[in-house]
Amino acid sequence: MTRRETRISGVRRIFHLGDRSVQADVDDEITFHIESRVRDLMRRGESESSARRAAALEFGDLHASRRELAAVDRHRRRRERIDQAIDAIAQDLRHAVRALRRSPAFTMAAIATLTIGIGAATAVFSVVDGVLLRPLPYRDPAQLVGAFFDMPKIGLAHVPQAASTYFTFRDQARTIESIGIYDVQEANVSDRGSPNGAQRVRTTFCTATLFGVLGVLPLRGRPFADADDRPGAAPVVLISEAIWRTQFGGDPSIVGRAIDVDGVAREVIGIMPRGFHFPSSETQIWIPLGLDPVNPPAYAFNYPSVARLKSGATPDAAARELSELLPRVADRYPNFVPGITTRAIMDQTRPQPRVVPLREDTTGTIAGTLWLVAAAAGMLLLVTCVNVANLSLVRFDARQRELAVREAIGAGTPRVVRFIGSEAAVLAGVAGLLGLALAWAMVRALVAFGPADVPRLGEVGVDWPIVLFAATAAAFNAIGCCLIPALRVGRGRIGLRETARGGTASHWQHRVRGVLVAAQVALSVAVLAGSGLLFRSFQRLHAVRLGFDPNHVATYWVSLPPARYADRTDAARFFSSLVKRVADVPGVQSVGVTSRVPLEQRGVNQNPFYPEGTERDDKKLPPLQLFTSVGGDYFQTLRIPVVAGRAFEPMETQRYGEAIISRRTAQLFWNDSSGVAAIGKRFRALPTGPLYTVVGVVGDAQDTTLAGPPSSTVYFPEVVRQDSATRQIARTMAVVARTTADPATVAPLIERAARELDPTLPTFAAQSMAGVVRASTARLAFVTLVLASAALITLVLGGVGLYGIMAYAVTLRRREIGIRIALGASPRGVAAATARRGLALTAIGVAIGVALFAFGARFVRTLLFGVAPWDPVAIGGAVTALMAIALMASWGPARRAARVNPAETLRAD
Amino acid sequence: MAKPPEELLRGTLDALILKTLSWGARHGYAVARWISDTSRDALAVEDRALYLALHRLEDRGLVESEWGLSENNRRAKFYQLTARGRAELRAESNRLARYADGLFRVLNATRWEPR
Repeated sequence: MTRRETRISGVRRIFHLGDRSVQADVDDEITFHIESRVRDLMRRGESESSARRAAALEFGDLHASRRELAAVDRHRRRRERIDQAIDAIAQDLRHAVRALRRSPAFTMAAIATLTIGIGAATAVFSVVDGVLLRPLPYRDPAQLVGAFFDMPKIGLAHVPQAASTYFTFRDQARTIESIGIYDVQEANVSDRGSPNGAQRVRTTFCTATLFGVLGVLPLRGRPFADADDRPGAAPVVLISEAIWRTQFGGDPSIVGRAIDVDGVAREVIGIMPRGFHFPSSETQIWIPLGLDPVNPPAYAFNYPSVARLKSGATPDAAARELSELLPRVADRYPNFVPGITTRAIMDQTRPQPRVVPLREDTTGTIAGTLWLVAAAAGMLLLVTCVNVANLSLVRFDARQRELAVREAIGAGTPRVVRFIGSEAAVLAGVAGLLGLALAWAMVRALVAFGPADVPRLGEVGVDWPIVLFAATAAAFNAIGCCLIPALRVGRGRIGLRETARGGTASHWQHRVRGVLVAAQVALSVAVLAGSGLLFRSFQRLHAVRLGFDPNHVATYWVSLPPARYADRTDAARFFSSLVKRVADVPGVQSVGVTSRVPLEQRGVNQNPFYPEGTERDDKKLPPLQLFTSVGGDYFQTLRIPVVAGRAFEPMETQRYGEAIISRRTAQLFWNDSSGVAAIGKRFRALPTGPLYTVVGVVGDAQDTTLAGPPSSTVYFPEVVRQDSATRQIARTMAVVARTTADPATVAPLIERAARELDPTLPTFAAQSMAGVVRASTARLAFVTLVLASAALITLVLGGVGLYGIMAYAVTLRRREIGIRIALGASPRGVAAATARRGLALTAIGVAIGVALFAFGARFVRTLLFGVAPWDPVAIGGAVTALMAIALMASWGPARRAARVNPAETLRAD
Repeated sequence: MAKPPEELLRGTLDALILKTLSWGARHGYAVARWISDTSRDALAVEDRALYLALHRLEDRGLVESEWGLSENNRRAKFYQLTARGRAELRAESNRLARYADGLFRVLNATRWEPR
């Protein structure tokens, strides 16, 4: 077959021109048959016309036949064509595998690099997808919104609803179809029969409307009815599918039975389906809030909300309507708390309603963080792709002769391009699979060890969309790393003559590789500077004076159900005996109990503070103080210094009515930095409440967050003596114990003390205080770690890329260098000239990288602490690191250049 | 025509064609002639059915075709057995022989009494 013919049949194949030839062949075949038959019959003496008739009759329906036969043939051809294509691809891939196995170093390097890039990108994508992109598991989730308030006047954002605002909006807002509010807490849950198996369970108290808003029905049983949600209604509970299976053995008869929740028998009215999470996967049971719409417990803005917009209503329209409705809250509920009018609160706080899509509301601040991590992973993917493109170019150089020969002996440009493409496909395919496995492992590790405060993280897994992403990333890489060599072949840049002459052909590539290296350096600088910024924030955060000593302190929580410890004195007595028991555990130095552990979210309680004489001023809401109940040797255990006055007495002898304040509170209300002047002063927690006397002032502590000023905290004593009927007492408290040994070894012993006192009580959230401090910065630590890993990889890849191009440049210019040295250039000068190119490339890359960083730094801002986004140390460090790497990468090749022996190189040609 | 030949020959036509081709490549006309001559026209096959069967055999990969020159120097499409076609012929003729044998025994059977 001549070349022209193959080309024509090729063209025919491509444009499916085969169809016409199929019909022509069928016609030819039928004609041949008829003609032969006619000739035979005529030979037997029949006339031509009768022979023709007979032949046609014997044949049958000619027209139908033509169609049928052509259809069969077309089918066959199509299949053959596909088979051929598959064969050709399989053959190409086999060739590629063979070729790659011949250069294992390149293959391993390329696969390892691509695997890291694809794996990291895929892992991050699965998190971004699971947390940010997937629709929430509720009916018509696009219509769901969260409604909250910003209070710029007092510097608060994202303040949830109050009962009063909820009832007003529920009854009057027309842009909203339905709205529910909730409050996430914890409860001790056990089967009625076995109170000793109680578990501490995340519990969401919610209005009966909530499940209607979400549009999710129970798997079994019924959702809450309005009648369940009234004050004094029969106690009911909805349970999750997970707790139904794990704690109640998956027994369907649980519906209708009562379980014990904090000592109250609550009838299980339904089981929510698997995959239903609200507000997060941690919540295992739901209980009606039972708010009284006439006289709601108006305490503060405590309840997050979720609402369903009417179709056609936008979040903005809803926010506008809620603003208009806000004055009616004061009309309907004139008193916010006894002694403070709602109007005064509104004037003080100026709440501005905000309505945002629920997904945005639940993912909140993590979105920025995740996109940042995604950007780092994207850059990593780019860098690995660039790096492999670079490696392929080197390999392509080495094989230029081979490819040129192939082309010359008629392999044809498309054939050579296919050859390059199939190698890239094999590399990317293998790396894609490995990358997927890596991503799976990374996601598992992330879900297990990642920061606990990422919403929806439990829903993250590797499934089809993730596989699709990995495949796309792999394809992107495959295209990326074969594009440049393929383009070169396509442009006819290779040829025997060119390669035989050496040198010139490679300059084009050399330039391309220069660009690639500069790009790598740029990405490295950006990622490195970003991770430096976060690392410095992390350092600053950990350098913050805590105000307490977290080392060698073990903590755990225990909660006393009101039903079992009805008398407040019982609760205080329990904690008092617990403190004594724990103190007797060997290895325990001192022990205290507290309603709130520093840097933990549990038990945070902010309240107004009225110094004596100011409580009549209902126009002004005093600054909120962090109220904490403590007992035992709390201050001594956490080493919070008493700066004036005294600490509380032991719980048995401590009197009610005393309080200890932090130095900051003393400063705030009595302008007293020494604390001495505050001693003996009195205050109220409510305008009409009892008076407390300040008996001590203690040092400030970072009670709620590391990133901010210390909290102003007011401590109340746990009191056993019955000397007041109206006092409040904390039932959920943490034990803090200072240990001489490792707190982890003492922890089981001190937890046992609680169970010995009351075996029905679960202990929970056991942690060392140092662990609490670490957990409070877990998110930053995590992002820092991710970025630092990305930075390290890009740095190494950048260095390797730079070294590669420098070494290659020296090889290319060996002759030129030889001549220069022969002409009297000093080896030193030659080395400097060689290194200069590497440094110039790096400098260009660094400049671009700094610009990239300046653009990207705004996105890290929310994560930073004590560092400006343009922190010179971070940027300078990144630039210095890159220049140092560049110097190192240039050093070897430059030295080699200086050692070139002119006589040898000149003889070589 | 008492019975449509297609009906009669369904399943066996393939075997006949494969058998015809077992002595070497032939064009469609030769196959048609050979079947009708050998069976002394007892197996009257409509040509349309024969060609359809041939093309289907080709689609199944049991025969392959090539254009060549006929005895009279005309362009003709020649069919020949593939290896798979040969195996199919063996299997199919065994099956048909067993079938014919069974059929023959039944048709020639004497009166049957339960033992």
